[in-house]
Amino acid sequence: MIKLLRRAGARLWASGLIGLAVLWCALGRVAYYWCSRVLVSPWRHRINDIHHLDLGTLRLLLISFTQNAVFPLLVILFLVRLILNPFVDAFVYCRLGRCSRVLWQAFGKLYIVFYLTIGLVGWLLYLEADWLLTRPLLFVVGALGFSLWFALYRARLVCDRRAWPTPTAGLQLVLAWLVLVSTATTVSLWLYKKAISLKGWPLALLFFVGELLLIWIKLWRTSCVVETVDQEAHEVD
Amino acid sequence: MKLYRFLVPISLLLLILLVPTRVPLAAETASIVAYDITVTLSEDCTYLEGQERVIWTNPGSIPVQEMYFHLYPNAFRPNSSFLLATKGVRRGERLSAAGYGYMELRQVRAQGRNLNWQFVQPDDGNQEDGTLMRVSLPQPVAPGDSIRLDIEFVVKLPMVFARMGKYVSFVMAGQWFPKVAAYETAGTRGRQLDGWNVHQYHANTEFYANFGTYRVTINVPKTHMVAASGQLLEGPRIQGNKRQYVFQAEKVHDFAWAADNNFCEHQATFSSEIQPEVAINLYLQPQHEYLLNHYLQVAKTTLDCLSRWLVPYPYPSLTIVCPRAGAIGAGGMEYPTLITGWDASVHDRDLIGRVLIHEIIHQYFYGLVATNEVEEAWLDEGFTSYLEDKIIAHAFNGQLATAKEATSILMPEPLVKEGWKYSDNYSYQANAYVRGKLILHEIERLIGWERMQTALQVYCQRFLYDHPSTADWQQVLEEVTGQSWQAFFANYIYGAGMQDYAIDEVATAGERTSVWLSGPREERELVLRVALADGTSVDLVWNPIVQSQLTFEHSAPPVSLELDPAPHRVLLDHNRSNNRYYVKASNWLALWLTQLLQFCLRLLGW
Repeated sequence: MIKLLRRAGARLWASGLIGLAVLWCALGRVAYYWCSRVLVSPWRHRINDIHHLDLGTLRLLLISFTQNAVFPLLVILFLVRLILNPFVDAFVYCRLGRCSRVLWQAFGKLYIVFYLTIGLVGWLLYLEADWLLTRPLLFVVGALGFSLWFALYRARLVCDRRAWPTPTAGLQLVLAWLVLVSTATTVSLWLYKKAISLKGWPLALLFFVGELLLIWIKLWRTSCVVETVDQEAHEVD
Repeated sequence: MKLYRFLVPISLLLLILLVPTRVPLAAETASIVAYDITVTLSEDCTYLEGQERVIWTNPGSIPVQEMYFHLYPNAFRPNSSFLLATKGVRRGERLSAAGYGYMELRQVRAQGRNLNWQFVQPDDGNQEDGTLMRVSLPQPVAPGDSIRLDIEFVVKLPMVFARMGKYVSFVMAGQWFPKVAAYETAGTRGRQLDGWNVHQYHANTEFYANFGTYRVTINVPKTHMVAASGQLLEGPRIQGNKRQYVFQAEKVHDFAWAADNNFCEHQATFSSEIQPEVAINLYLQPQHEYLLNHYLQVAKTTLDCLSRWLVPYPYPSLTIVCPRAGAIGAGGMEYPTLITGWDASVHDRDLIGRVLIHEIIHQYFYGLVATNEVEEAWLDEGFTSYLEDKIIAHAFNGQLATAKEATSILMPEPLVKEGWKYSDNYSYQANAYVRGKLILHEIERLIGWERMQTALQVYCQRFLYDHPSTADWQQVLEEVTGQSWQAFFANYIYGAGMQDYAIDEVATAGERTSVWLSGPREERELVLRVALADGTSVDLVWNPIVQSQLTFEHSAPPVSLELDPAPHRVLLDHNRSNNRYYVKASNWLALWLTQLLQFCLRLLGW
């Protein structure tokens, strides 16, 4: 697992994706932080504890958000991000997979299917909300399993040889993912804890660096998948 | 000696007078319908085959040309209004096509001939809904006259869902027979003319019927035991491969029964100086056997409270059924003299107790004071939920969070409203149950428990075996308290009024702070608690009628303010977030929300 992380790290560094990470996190962080501040601002004198978020208050929050003039902007940014997703994804995977050309079309089609599936699954879960509520662990494990499979699928698109990882390699990949996911969660929580006591530029800087770190971890996770698939392909040779 | 001779009969007379007696069961006007039904449960517990003889007496002053019957099992037919509204989902369970149920009428006869009948849909016009039937009578029934109808029917039991059906060998037969709809005479619930009160069976609505007598012969597979409304007259006796029971119930407006081959039967009695003996029949599942004492304690305590606060329980028995584990759809339901608790998969003593208390209270508000659950559900659910709180606090030392519950009322709607017209099932429950009970708590806060109890008692006594409306409750309240409740009822009961008090703005200049407050201009004294920077706090009193701004001086600057802090005095404030004000704005929510947004977006991609 350590070897895999090291090789994936080297592959990521060599890909030069740091530029994209900076750009993407600047777009996401600044926009969403600003929007949430504008939306939430009227509530900042009312709520300063998790216990204040009872059902009625959450409903009022939602209503006040949807009535705020900035809300449509947030929705547009959300949609822009969704639309950009396949292009960013194609770029990232192709850079990591060292493709000669970026597979825009393949990733575009894949994402159309992906969004439709997510919509369908979301709708089914909505209809069977109780099923979801009574089996939250199964849902989380299912979602993680699906993400892993989806990442492997995309990695196979950009690699020369298309082999699924052997059980040993798969296990190493799962372990590497778990390490990276838990690191990202820890970083998020630490960021959140630190951010509460900061304001102004130090807060903005902390968010920027933190977000960059999180995106880097996510890229690293992707690199692990590409590395595994690529390695497998060579081992099959 | 002469004195002694008088003492004996006087003592006997006194003894007779002091011994608790039942409230008489025979108020002639209340019994409008008499049923004699024989029903047989098939060996696979899927079908009921029944013959029903019903004698209906016209209680009004005008002849009646047609009758209406509820065929509730047709709610479980595809495309019924009930299934369309629920989408086949209730209490987290889904009714699959294999689990559908229905009622089929083989014949409807009177005076030796078959009668014409048809399904009618007065509420929504859904032609595929077969839960209400109109029967044309051979000749009008004159006031005071009776008509006898003979009906043969078959019921395919649904999988246990929304109060009735089968689950493995367990059968809950609620709303299982063709049931005469409620006929209201002029004056009942403010009605101008005599007539039928007819509605289909909807997702949110329960039931409404006239009082009557029932004699029901039940044949079940001989492996099964039966629990039913009323009292056992004959049996059980084995006839071939069947076990037969005969039950009789008087002065009730419904009859339900349950059967299972798994029941563990227990009996106990309860009586007190004011409550005549009541037989408590328990039909538990083996998994709940260890809770026997809990069931009994809860039942006895509840009966004790209700008999003291309202009127003694007038029926000789109360039957409690525990549905089989998994048959949750049959759980937590009330029928006259029979209730169902939570199903046997639940082992939370508090939850089991709360449900039992709730359903036993329904014996009064639904059973004895038979309000229209379809049009004014709050009169049974609100009253029951309120008394449930009272009993839990009084007899079980339970902690209530009534004010906090108000925050679950997302969409206040009038309480006098047909159940199916609420925005959704959540809103129906939040209003009929929660808002209804909170309004009763508010009335109690305004007049005190003693007068509230008197009002409830008068209401119960006056409308025992009757069908009161919200206006009747208002009239009782006005009589007991000697004041008008018109504005209160108009705002909170016929309207959707709440009590949203708020701190609108805070401005500090030097050692003086002004606070702008808003909310319903009602006579009350609310506490405004101000926390100061030096760690101390000050309580100020605000009267919404007198002022809309408070100004005070302080030695240390205020840090936060809270209007009506715990223990809350305002019970209907469903937005407590604006009761707080932090002088220094908090970063907490903005940060939390940003993290949440980012997390959600990352789930879908980059």
